Amino acid sequence: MASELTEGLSSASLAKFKVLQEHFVAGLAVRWCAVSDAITPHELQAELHRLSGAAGSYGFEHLSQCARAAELLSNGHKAAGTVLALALAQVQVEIKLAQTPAQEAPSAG
Amino acid sequence: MSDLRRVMCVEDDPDIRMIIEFSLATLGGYEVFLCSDGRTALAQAPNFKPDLVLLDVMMPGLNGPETLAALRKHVEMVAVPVVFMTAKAMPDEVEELLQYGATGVIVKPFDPVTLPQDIRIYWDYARGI
Repeated sequence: MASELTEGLSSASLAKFKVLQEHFVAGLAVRWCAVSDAITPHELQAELHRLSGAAGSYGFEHLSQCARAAELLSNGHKAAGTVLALALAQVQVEIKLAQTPAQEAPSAG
Repeated sequence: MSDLRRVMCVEDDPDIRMIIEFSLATLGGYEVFLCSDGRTALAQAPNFKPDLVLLDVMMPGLNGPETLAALRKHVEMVAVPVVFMTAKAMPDEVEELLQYGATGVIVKPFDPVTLPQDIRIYWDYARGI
């Protein structure tokens, strides 16, 4: 779920941000493939680093934090293997949440 | 130095380049030149003549500190403030980046709404304001 970065923006700027956000979300599947296909710990770390940095700036703070946590675990230590797998699963969940269209709030009355 | 108008951004991730352009050009009103790598920045900086450079740290090819060192060899770029962007924000890592000669460090992820003000603060700092 995206958090609110856009308070105070004009309607034109907000509309432009939404377009960029949709473009980012559309690319998440490719980003996840890059994470999944990473062969070396260095590659995995680099992909998670990029995902973490980008996601937060588009308002997806949880995804950013999960990717950052997985990045920190992906330093090649075997002891972190199981925890890393869980962290990557959490990243995947957050990607699916980001890809889920936001529900319109029910109108009052 | 006059005013902060021209900002060069060096960032390998296309999504981050797009949100930087939105932030600095659309919201901040700056003239923005986007580069995807350090070598392009080195080639274009003398032509674009940026007032400030926003420079990613982790990039393939030349990384941020290497790009900064090479930029400083251009006469026109010796005094131009350079601000690093990094997701690694531990105090010792920030300290290390500043020792390369950067004016400041912006932590990723950044807020695109406040980024124009953030770089203005570093610009003022570099001018001694």
